[in-house]
Amino acid sequence: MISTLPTASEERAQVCIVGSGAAGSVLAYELADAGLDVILLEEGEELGKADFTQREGELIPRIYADAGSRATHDAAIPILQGKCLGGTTVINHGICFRTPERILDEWRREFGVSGLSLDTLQPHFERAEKMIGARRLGPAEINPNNQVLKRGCERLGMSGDVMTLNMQPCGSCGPCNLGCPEDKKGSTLVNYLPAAAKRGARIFRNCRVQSVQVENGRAAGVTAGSFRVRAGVVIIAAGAVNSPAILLRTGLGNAIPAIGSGVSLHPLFPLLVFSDTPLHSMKGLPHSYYCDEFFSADDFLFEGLFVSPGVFASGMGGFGRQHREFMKQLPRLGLTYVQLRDRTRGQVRLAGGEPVVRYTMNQEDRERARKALKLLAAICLEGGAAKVATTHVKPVVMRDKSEIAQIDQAMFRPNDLTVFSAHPQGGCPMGANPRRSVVDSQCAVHGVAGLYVCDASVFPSPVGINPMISIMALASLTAERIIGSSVGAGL
Amino acid sequence: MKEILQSIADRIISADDRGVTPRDLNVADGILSYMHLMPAHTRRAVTQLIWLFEYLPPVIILKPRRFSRLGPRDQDRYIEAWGTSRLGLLRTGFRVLKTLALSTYYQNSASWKAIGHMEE
Repeated sequence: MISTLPTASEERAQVCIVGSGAAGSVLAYELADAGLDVILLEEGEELGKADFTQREGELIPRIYADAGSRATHDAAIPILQGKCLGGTTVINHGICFRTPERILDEWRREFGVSGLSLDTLQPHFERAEKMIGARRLGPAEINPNNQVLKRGCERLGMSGDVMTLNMQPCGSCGPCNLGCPEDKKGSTLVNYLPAAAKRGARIFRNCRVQSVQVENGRAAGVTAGSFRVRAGVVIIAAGAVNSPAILLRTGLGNAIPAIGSGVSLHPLFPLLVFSDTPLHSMKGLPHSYYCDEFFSADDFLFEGLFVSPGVFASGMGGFGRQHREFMKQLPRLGLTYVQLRDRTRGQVRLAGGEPVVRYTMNQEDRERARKALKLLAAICLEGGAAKVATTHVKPVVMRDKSEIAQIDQAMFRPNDLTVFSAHPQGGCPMGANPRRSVVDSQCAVHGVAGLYVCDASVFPSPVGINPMISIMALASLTAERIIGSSVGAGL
Repeated sequence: MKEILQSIADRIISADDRGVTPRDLNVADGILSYMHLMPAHTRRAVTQLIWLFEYLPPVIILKPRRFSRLGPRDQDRYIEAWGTSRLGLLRTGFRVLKTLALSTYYQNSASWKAIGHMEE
């Protein structure tokens, strides 16, 4: 074990980091490597590869936020986030995209963000990718489910590519969304966090931070139940739902009105693929190909995926006899999805001290999702799918391209069809204007010295791609800036 | 509550073919156990939803019976009415109950043989 439970009522450190996911673990490693005295607090427990039994009923309550029940206020969009040492890097599919330049330009142009360019981030991308073992897959590693997407793209002349993942060839034991029992996934649990601990970072698990202690306008530590950590620098890296919640519980909502604002969810719209031949979609790396033909102009991506049976079944369309008939074809089922760079913005608010994500997809995004699903259906049918189906209560089933127009008749209101979020962002947006943002371009919270937020919550608009590498690079850069700043020098 | 959840799971999962039934796998108990792991405010809301679902057939499909006392055909019609309702609250209810039932059933490995999961 690299973490412990707190034994004293109070600990002291130079830096206290809240959250051990893609951001917190990088920060802990980089700051400890620079010789700083670091404490990292994680709300969840520590699991090792022997614990990742692939049993959903046992693991989802242990490693997902809110025992897997986290969702928007109307349950329309489940929000999948990790809650264990390593955070979401333990449960994600390890996709490594670098932040697109146009997104960084948008942040500069529209939000006044400075000092975040591809040139600035380049060494941090490289550093993070090396640390987590990112590698571009070989063509033979595209599994049959993803081959449908690939063939369709190629036949239609659309842009697509194999994924770069932090996963090594593995025994194909099952779904990667339940953690890796072979340590073949380069989650921070197996690289950054052990390295941080080796460099002296103290990691405490099962510590749910309620609030930051602010004294005379500067951060002085955090409170986690009866446990307190005193530190001159506090970095909140608890994700796009919990980070704003911690700041709100701290009582900063009046001074910084943007806390909780600007939440985007990168909604994922699944499309079920039926094949005449077995796909065994859980074999091989389940997330191995993507199509970016429409990313620049329309802001959506198509990706192939498969997940564990319980998650898959609950996301599939229909119910009762029709659903059962679909499930009985499981070996011949595949799954693709639209990943929408949403224009909708939601909010994180508190109810009884707990975060509530208020998010209702706007009409523009619903129509964009409709357009994207029609395009994805065409690609999959071209790629050899015998039929495809949406996830509506009454699924739209299409066997031929001539039937795709049926999607025009389908409803896209909340809960009409399955929508997931695996990439919540915003809530503590970065920017130059303290009335419209929470942190400045250095990730420092406006008006509270020594307090930082560094995770996907600071993204002022969604990155559009799977965000793990963007988060890690930002954390690496932030650590470098803290070390080089007067704050770092004073520690 | 368990009886209501059993009735909901029976119709949503519909594994009355050669597979094991939701009752064989104690899906209702599984859902109740899972609810205890939810945050308190979520658990309260789901509990209210289950009772609301049980007693609304007279309003939604004009049948003067509780859901668990309806025949299978009316139960299916009632579930679909929730899932396709113009009222967002009912669609939310459908989504929550469907997710609880299906995820609890299919995450149990005893349900996998009938769907060919993990077979070469």
